[in-house]
Amino acid sequence: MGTEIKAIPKLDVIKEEEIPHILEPGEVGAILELIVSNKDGKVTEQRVLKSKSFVQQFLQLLFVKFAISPTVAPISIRDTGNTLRAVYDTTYTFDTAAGVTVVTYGIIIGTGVVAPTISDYAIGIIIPHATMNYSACTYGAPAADATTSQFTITRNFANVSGGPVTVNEIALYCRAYYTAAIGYFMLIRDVIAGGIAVPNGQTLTVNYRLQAIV
Amino acid sequence: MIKTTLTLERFSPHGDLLEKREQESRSWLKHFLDLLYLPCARFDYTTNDIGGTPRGLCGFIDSTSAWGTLKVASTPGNTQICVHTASGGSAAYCRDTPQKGEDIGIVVGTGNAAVTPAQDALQTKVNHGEGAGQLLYGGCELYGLTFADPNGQFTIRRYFTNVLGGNITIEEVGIYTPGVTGAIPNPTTSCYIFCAARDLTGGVLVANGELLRVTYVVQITV
Repeated sequence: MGTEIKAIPKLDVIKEEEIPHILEPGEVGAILELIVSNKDGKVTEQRVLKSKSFVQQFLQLLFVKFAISPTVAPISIRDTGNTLRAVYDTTYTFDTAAGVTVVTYGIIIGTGVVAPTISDYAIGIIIPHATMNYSACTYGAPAADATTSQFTITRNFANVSGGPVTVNEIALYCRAYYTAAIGYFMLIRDVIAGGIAVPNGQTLTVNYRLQAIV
Repeated sequence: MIKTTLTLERFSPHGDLLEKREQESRSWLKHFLDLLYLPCARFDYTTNDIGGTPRGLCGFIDSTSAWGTLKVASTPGNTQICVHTASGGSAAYCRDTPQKGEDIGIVVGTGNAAVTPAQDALQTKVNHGEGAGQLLYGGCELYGLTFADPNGQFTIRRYFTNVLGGNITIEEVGIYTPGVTGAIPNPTTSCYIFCAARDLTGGVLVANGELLRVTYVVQITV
């Protein structure tokens, strides 16, 4: 495992008028925002879409959190390495705050195109750091307007590969604790129709906005 | 995407089903996301408790002990429930902070004001008890974690018994959950209660001797 470089997280408060409204009333979900920008910061492509694919591990970890599952009654959850782990609740549950270069948790990108299923436990084909440089994850604090609450998880991916890279899938991984060790678990996996092309030298910014609508 | 179904069932003293209402729950509130944000971002965050008082909550402690924030499963009525807190930033200083069972998990009330995302509490919570206007709160259960592609779900359920409360019309249902106070890396041994969800029922009258079963089914679909 690579050395994790700790970065000071950046905290942005999202203004109410910046909350996108795509979800239906009663839904809890995520909005996926993809922004490609060049070296000057000019946006060359932007998409906002509904994240469709909370997978099995999300619901299992929510159960662990709601139940405060103890060490004597852990929940068996498949990690990103396809191994079942006996997970119990600690403050690590749902930790997505990955540092720069870290590809084991936080927002992850890949080139796989296989449609998501609820039992997916990992991204199809991960794009490694140093092909696309992974920044630290940053966060927008919770905010609400008349109908919608949200907070935002953001990560930048700089294409340093020397050629174009097409990102076809995006996932959110987190940490959680199992029998005397920290494990990594996939919460969300989205496949992007047609992919999003990132030319060499440009940066892809991914925002997952977790929302609840009343 | 996550959707939640809310079911209210009213039973006679003999256990006969008298009424059943099922509706889509529309009301996971900002405080649910506030408490999910804490471990997700590993940031401290201040938000209002059910009394409307801002509380500084701790985002992370480097501990492998249990952590009470977002607990929903609960004990009955006024029996003690231990919420896992800590001090000193170490597992060696972990504590169990006592709360009443009725203050965590599914709660019911008589207020019918419209739901807004940032509200802090039920409008008028019905308290646990055997007196007028009160209901006996059972334990709040979590069970039924199952998956069948493309769906997965689990259930949150609580029973409420009207012993001598007179007629009580339940207009609102919600979920209360604790948050542990303090700041990284020094949480405190205190916790406060927050409102994660609130739904209006349209009014379900629970007469003396009757029992109300409230069930949330939390479901994801790929």
